[in-house]
Amino acid sequence: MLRVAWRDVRFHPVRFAMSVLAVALGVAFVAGTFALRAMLSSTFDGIVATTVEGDVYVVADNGTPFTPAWMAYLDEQGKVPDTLVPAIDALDEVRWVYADYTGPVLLVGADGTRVSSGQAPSMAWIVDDEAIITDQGFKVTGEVPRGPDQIGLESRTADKAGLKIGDTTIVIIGGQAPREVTVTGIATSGTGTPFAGAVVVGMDAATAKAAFAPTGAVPMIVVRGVDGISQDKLAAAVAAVLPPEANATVKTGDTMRTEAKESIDENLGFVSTFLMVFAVIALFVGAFIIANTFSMVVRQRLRETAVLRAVGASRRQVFTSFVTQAAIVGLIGSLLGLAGGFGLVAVIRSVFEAMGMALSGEVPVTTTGVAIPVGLGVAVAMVAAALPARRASRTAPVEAMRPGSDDSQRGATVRGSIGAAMTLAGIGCLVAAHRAAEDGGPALGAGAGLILLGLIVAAPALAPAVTWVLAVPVAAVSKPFGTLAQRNLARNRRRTASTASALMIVMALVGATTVLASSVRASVADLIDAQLDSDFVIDGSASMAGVPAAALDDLAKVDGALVMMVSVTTAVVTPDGSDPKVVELGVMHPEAMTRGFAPDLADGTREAFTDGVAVSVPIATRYGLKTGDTLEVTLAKDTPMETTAELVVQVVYRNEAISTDVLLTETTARTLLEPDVYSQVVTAVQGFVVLDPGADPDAVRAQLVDAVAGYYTISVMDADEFSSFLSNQVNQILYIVYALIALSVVVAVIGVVNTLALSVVERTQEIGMMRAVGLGRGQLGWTMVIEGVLVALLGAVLGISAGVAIASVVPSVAWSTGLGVVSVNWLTVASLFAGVVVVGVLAAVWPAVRAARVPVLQALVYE
Amino acid sequence: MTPDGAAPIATTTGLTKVYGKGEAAVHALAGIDLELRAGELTAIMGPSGSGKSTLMHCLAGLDTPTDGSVWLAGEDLGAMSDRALTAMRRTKVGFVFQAFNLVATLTAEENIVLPLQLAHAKVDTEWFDQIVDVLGLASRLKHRPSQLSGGQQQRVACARAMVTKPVVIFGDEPTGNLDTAASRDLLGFLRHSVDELGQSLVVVTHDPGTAAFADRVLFLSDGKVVDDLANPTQATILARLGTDAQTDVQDDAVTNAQVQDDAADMSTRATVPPPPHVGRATNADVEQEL
Repeated sequence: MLRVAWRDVRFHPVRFAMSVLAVALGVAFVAGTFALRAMLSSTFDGIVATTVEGDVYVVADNGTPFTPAWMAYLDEQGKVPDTLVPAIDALDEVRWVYADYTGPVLLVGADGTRVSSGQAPSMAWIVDDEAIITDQGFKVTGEVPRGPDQIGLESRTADKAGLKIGDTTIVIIGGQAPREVTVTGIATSGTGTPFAGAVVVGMDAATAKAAFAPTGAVPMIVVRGVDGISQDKLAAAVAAVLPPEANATVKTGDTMRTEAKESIDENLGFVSTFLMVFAVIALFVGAFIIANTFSMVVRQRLRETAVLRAVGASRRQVFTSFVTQAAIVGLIGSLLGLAGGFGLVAVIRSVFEAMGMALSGEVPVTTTGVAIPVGLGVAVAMVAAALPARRASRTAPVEAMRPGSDDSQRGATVRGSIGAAMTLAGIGCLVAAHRAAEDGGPALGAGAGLILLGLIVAAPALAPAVTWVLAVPVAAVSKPFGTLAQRNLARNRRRTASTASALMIVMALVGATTVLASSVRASVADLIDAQLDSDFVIDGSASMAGVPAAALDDLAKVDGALVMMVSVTTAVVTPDGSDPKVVELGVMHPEAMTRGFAPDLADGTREAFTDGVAVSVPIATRYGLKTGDTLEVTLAKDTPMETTAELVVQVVYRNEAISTDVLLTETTARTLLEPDVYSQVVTAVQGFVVLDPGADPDAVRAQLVDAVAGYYTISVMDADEFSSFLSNQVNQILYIVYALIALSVVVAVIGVVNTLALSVVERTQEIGMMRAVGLGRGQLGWTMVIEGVLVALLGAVLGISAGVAIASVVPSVAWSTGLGVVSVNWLTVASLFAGVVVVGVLAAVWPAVRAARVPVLQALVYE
Repeated sequence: MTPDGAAPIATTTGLTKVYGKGEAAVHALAGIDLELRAGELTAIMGPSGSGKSTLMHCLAGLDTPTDGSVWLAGEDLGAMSDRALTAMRRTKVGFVFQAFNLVATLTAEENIVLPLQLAHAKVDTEWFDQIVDVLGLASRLKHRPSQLSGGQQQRVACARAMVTKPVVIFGDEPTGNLDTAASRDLLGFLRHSVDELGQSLVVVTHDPGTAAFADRVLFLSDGKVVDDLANPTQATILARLGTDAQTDVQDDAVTNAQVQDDAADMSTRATVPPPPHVGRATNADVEQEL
């Protein structure tokens, strides 16, 4: 029986090619995901190994998990005073020690533009002790930088910037004004990609301290022991000299490296989960295609099966024969997919490289990275084939001999009822989710799942009716062909349904994404319309440093307009009787609430917001806060500059337009924090500009542009530009999602091609007879095209309706995050349908050509 | 030229069809010169492999001759493109096959008018009604093929073949899958269409009972016309078959013994032997489980 199974695969390559392709695409996704994850992981491991190079670390005693130095300034991490350094340096066990002053640095390249690091940071590196750099595995050419007018560069950064030793250029360190500096040295790593494409600018400790830690509070102090000392022994020695009031703790390098890897893996976990979702969809859709192929193969081979049964093959043998074929298909597809997946990762790597992020090493081939995708591919193929194979083995030999036995209609009503019930339950869940608003998340998820599953289950029952409705216009215009195509689909409703189901899932995804995207855009536009009252917006979010303090001074001097900055910092709020909660806290210009920026208020008045605190509706609801209550706010938490104040809640606002949950006025924040501390922990991100009456907008804009011109990363926009700027950010994410969906679409299209091509084989006699009575080749092709379009539209109608319905509820659930408006762009939805029609036509081309090539006579004398 | 002076519906000159090449070459048709007359029912008989189906396929433009020419309804088929041949099949030729005659998804009525729709032609309602009436299909028009008996299905096929008023209808074993009564009905109708409606018909068969309905029987053997019998009766056909030294039609010999040599008695006695269905017979007793 094995030989029979193998021969069949060998002699019908086309029949199985589609299944192989479907498996290959699904597996390529899975293999690519694993390989990408492994590659990212090894890249970051390399970074950890080169950047977490100390034997012992002194960090804040707050139990926050460690994040690597170059991520530290992004995070609300505790800080330790650099005053601990001399005592540690005095120890005999210590080779060197430094306080890690680091933060964002903007480097201007030889061409006069900012050196971009893509998604990687652009940061400072303390390099004033050559021994430290050498210990980190770098070789220095030139001199290490001394003083604020000199910098050193990591070799890759130097290449990217086109700078060499002796060149002068501009840097902006932290929030400082742009400064001209000279490149004195370049450090080349012995290993491949030490900073994964980050822009790394070396400077001496004093320069970095002035910019990033004027108060002397640093995320960590790095210690290297003398040769031969163990990390534990060194840690004990360091711990002994730490004063108890420093709130500092000692961790060994190994602990830090482990924590760093864990934190990186956690972040990468999200990326691979995201990719895995698409891999699962591709495999799921692939499974439909395989199941389809095999149910057709089974039908075609019924006679042969009957002969096999008649000559003594048992049920089990017939079943095994089909499942073995599936395994062969699965294995070939998986191996191809594996190669494709690795190719995909190679492409991704070159794309990353082009964007400035270097990933280390070759595409990793690990045992799990190979075994899991291949195992999955084979398993999916076998499971998908099992059902049709079971049907084949159950067929009585005599029954199989009879021509035209049609087994696809049974159970349609039962399935239809169950599916309808599930879909209705799903709709119920969506309604419940809509009512429950914020707490509707689980109901939304359940609703989405139930609707999609329900539609898949009900699809065979729905297929004839839906395609009939869809075919009405075609049938009217193109007399026999619309009817012929629709009836062909209705005849094999199960196959039609499973083909359409694959497309349905993909289209649900597309539909939902489209609605979410247009809702986000509409929400943004809506908010800007309703709540943003300013003439210009200044945006500094392109740089980690935000709008530097020096620029703020220039902006304050602009004539004819009021510039109101919005800054952010991390704070801890402790409502009465509740646990402390870490929040992002907004610091607003005192007049921002009354001029230029108008969030809807739930409680209080704009004028009332002076020396107290404003909280968002979700925070107020959760902690039962109303105006007049007090809220404990801690700024610069876990640093030596920590400040806590009891503030009166003066305003409760709806926070659609503001991403922060708690607001202070700038006056209040400056009262609470020393100027040095303020400049270290508060980052100005955006500014709203309101013109004085009668002021000339163009003149003001010119002044604004002038004020920020030297900072490279700050832009000045009017309200329209700001709106499209925000939309573009949404679009960028969308493009990635669409690219991933596009791959799933390809799999689904292959499903349609597969179904049509196999139905051509199945209908050879009918086609021959119709050709004999005068069906032209063009007419035959046209019929196939209509069939393809109808299947595609069936999937699209079900999928897009489900996707749109599900996505429409998301804003109700997620309104507190600013997604307040449901917007279905019907033009986009219409163009989706148009796209689906094109997909259907394209899918029909090859089967139509195949059908037209069938010689009339061969079709007639077939069998 | 036919006796009454009408133009022939089909003419072949040196018609040759060779399958394969070199030593493996099979001469399905070995030079056939033939004239088929209008208004006649012509039967083509011969043992399996004699080339009778190939001859019909070439006459109908379904197959391309290796050599020689075929003229159908005054046109040279050899000079026609696939498109022209398709148009020709739509308008000038009708077909009735042994099986797989109908589109399973279309109703009887839709099947009948299919060639007209393919040609974007109007349905001649009067003619349609007449055919349907003669064939007794009026009450079955809304049924799908699966809801019709074998005889009804073949009658629908006949109606479809006639609806375009073709120059000639080709039948390839049209009664091959039917029982005795259904065969008789169908043949009766075919005879009627020739006599009353002037339809020209060419039928390929290996059943003498069927051939006896014809005006003329052509006997084929090894790709050549070996005999041409006018106004045949079952007796003359059987006699002709009996004297054929090369005959290998065992089935017909068996039929020979069962059928009375009386063509006039055909209406009650004609048998159309069931086509050999080896597969079905062999497996009938192999039930279910092993």
